[in-house]
Amino acid sequence: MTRYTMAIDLDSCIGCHSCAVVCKQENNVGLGTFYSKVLTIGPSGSYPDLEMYYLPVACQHCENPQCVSVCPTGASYKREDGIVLVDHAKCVGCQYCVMACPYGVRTYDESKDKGVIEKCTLCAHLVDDGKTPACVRHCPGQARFFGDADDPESDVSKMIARKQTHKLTDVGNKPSVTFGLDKCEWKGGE
Amino acid sequence: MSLKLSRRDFVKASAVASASAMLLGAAPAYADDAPGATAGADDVKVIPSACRQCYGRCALFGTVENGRLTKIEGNPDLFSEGTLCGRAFAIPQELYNPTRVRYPQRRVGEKGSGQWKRITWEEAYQEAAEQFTKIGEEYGWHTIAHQYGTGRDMLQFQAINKLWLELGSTATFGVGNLCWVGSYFTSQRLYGDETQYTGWDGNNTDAIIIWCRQERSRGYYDWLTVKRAQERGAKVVCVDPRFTCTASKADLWLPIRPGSDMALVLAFINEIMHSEKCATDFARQYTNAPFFIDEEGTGYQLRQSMMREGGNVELYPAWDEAHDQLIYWSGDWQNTAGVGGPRAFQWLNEAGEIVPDAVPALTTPDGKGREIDGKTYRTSWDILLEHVTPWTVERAAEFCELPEDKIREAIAIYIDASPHACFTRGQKVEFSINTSGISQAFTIMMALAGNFDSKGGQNIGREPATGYDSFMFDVVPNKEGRMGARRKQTAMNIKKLSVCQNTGYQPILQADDATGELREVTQNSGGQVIYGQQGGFGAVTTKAMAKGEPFQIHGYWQQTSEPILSIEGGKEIIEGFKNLDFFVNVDIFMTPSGELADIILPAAHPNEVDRVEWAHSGHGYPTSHTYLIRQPFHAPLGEAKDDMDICFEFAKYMDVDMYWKDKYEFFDYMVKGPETLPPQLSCANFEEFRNRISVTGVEMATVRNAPKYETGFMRKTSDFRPGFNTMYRGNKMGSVYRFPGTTTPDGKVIPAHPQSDNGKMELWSEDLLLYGNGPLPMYIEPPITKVSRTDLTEEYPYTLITGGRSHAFFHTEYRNSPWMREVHMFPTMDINPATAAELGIEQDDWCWIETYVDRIRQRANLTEAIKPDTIHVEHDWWFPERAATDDLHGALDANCNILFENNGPYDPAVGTDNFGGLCKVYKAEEGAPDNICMTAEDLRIFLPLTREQLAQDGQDDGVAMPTVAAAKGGK
Repeated sequence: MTRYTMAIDLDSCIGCHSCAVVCKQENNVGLGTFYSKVLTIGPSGSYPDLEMYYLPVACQHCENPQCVSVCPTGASYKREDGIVLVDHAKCVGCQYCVMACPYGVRTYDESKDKGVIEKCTLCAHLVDDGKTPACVRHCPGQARFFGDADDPESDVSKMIARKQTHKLTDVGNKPSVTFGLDKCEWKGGE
Repeated sequence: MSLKLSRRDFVKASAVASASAMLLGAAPAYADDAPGATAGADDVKVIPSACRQCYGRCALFGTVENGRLTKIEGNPDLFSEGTLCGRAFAIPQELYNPTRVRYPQRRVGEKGSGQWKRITWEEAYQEAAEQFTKIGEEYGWHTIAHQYGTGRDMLQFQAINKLWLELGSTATFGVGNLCWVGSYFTSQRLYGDETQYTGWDGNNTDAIIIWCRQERSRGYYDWLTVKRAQERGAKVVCVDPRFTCTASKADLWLPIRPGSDMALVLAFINEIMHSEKCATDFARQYTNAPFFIDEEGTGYQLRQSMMREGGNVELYPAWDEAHDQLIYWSGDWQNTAGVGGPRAFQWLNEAGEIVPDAVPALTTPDGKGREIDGKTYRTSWDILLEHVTPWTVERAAEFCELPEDKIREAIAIYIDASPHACFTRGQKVEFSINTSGISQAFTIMMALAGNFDSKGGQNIGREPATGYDSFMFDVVPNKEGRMGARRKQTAMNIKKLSVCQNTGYQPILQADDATGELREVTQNSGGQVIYGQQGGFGAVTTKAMAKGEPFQIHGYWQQTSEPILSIEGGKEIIEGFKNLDFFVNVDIFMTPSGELADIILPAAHPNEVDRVEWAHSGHGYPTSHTYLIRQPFHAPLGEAKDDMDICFEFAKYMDVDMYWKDKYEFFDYMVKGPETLPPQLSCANFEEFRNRISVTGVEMATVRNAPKYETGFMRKTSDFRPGFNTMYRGNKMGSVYRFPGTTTPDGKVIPAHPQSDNGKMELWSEDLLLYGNGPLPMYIEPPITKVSRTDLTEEYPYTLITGGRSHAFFHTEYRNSPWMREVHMFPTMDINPATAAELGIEQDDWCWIETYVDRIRQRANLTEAIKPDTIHVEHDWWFPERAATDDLHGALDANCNILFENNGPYDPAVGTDNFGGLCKVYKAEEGAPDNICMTAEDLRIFLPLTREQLAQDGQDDGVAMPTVAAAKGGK
């Protein structure tokens, strides 16, 4: 079965926020909203014995997404290929999902015609066209990989195979995005 | 030879609708474009072009729907590999920005009142021509300054420079002399081309030293090279006071004390010179290391003519170890001294015969000198070795506040990997009064480690794709005798006409080699050679405008530059601008200094014009050898024009002979290249180049399987003699040098010096003796540190640095970009949490940063990335969301360059000032500056104007500058 997701090599990420900005272009994201944010983790330790990495955070396209379970209208849904989406025609902007999401990556966007929930779509419109998400294609560190986690030949599986991997804290939702980090100690998203 | 043609060989920019389908899905508008503006577009083009939003020049595609740019994407076929940073995606927000100037404007209110009226180009040119002519005729043409900003393309620079040099202008605020020119000048003088900012062969290297450079400051694709090298097993060493992104990725980080770099480089050289791996053969054959120095006499390299009556001025004595005899290097390649022809660039004996197997000695007995004709001379190697030997790892550790073991490890990594070790530097290391000296030290380090033109080392000099580079714009007409009379006159009288005429001779703190103690000495005056210009740099041009010293500047032509923000002493620059009789500003946007101009001419955005483009500032192959097209996404908005076209047009009003008919005539010449260029690298004309998108040249060292200095490819004189290009040495090109024969204030007369165009790389440098801080790279303590100004440390206890660059901005640019401001909203001060705790400063507190000169406000970021007791502030901040009358768009609130004075000392060779110091920090009880964007919502004022808004607003009453205050219903 296809399970589309992303893998991010944090050793390659230079924290340039290009992903956050190209996403705005590709998905017409309004001011004040980010589908993808880049956190600086650290530097931890004391000068000059330090470690630091950058952590891009967007929707983790969970296997068991809480945002879908709590949605009263069925607007939040998970596709068979693993991508979690919001159907804006059904979304009433109640924001239950915003509260349910453990990662704070859903935004209530008032600037749209009607208040709806916005979040990373894994560029489903590009994926459906046989392409990769915009942030993957343009990443200056070539740190982002997209593909089918069930396909051992996919870019995602290959990165997972060659690196020490981590996921954001799992509270039963089973986040699908994998982070590779060999050079520093993983500190999660704190 | 290889030729890299783009795989997607786009035929022509226009009408590539099929490519659109291939590359893109549905193309949504970028944020908040007018709904429906692009829906159902029937005219969609995908245009290959280049980015100009930093020095990296990434290759990109722009999607243009019904004449409006809607999307930017990376071009995967060129060196940037399809990657792009956020700034590229924000290009549409620049193009349609509400602060853009689209029509010529004349100021109608007081300077700084923000009151403008639209005029025609004809009116603007007429008035400018009349006013400048009046000033030129009344006060002299040297009283008109001109200026050009960084990161513009070099072709634009050439046109501006040509126009104003022909008109007799001498003063500029400078651009590259803030950075880069120190290295450029020094490497030109030492061996005739660039290295520190050109190629470094990361593709084949075993070690990379990254000195004060961030991965993401410019040309992010370099990180791909570094990371691949690391994955291959190469070691990466980062030298930087801050724990930057680069430091976090490096195998070894040296957290150096700001401004102490020279001590560390000298320790590198010391260890290299004492190492078995030292490139002594190279030093013997290709450098001036074996030359004797006339220490007792002229101070210059010894010539036979200095040794004896009737001696030859082109013969440089040395000692031949192979035959125990005195030999002479003939520098007479121009065959003017009777030892040229086949004997030029050969070792000759007393009889003038070639000694083919000569082995020139690097040292004299015990390094104490060799007696010749009753006088004792040391070699330049002796002197260099004596200079660096006391600069031990221990001393460097003390000066740089680094652990000895880390220094040893770094040096070992570099020496072990040599000759496959490379080096790349950032510009931060250059913000110093010793920028020419540090560049010389880096040159010696790379050269003696054997890393010049080696696999995995440094590519020496530019090898552009075609045989011609941008400098030919001015070189060709001058070669053909088309230099104007006024320009010639100005060059001949430059000592009286330069704003630099009284500079130099200021006290500096220099380390005594033997003891390491700092002592006060008087610096040289180099005359400040500004890279092809006739002289001038920020501080002296400021003084001339504001104080009338050494003469009053009356007129000013500024093109895409913002000195108030980028040069020290911004308040005095404002004073100077207010003194001007006439000031023309050419820019894309309304800016602080633009508000003080009389006329504003609207410049086209870089993505609205045609250019031959290439990556600037230090990248490896193939980046270093690639030209690519930058072509318009659409015609310039309103009546904006290409900067180059503006120069060509105004030249006609001023009766200046630009030589080239227009920019395309030069582009054609440039991309065609010389007859000797391999045909596959030559384009018939610019239109063919446009169709090819890019041309990538070859590395001659690879083609010939030998370094360029062995095969004659370093020579720019077409004689293909082994050796270096040394034609730029001495007092040439009409620049303001310290003239031999000058008397220094202490009464010393500088002896006349013969030319030193001898094909040898200078380690000990005659040119830096004349124009820099001295013949050897000396340790000079920056003027405002805890070491040099103990009188200040009680009141200003923290070290202040300003060199970091933000990924969101490019110097002063992008403060009006909603997307870039959104990811980096505020000017940010980095402070260590321990220091912040002592001061009661918390995360995100607005703080005053105060030096003995002035104070600014930035917002605190508590981070371990900076050493306790050290403060880093961001540069070039202003607030376009504030009105002109509101402190010139907030040019002084957070602008770190007003924290430094502009009274010298400067680097004697290039005029670089000091941009670091001592400060105190305290919480700003009043919080943020008034009227600035505090939220993403506030940034809405900068969202792109719609097609309709653009069509409706002809800017009849100036640019309708949006302000936060107005948006919030205030004034």
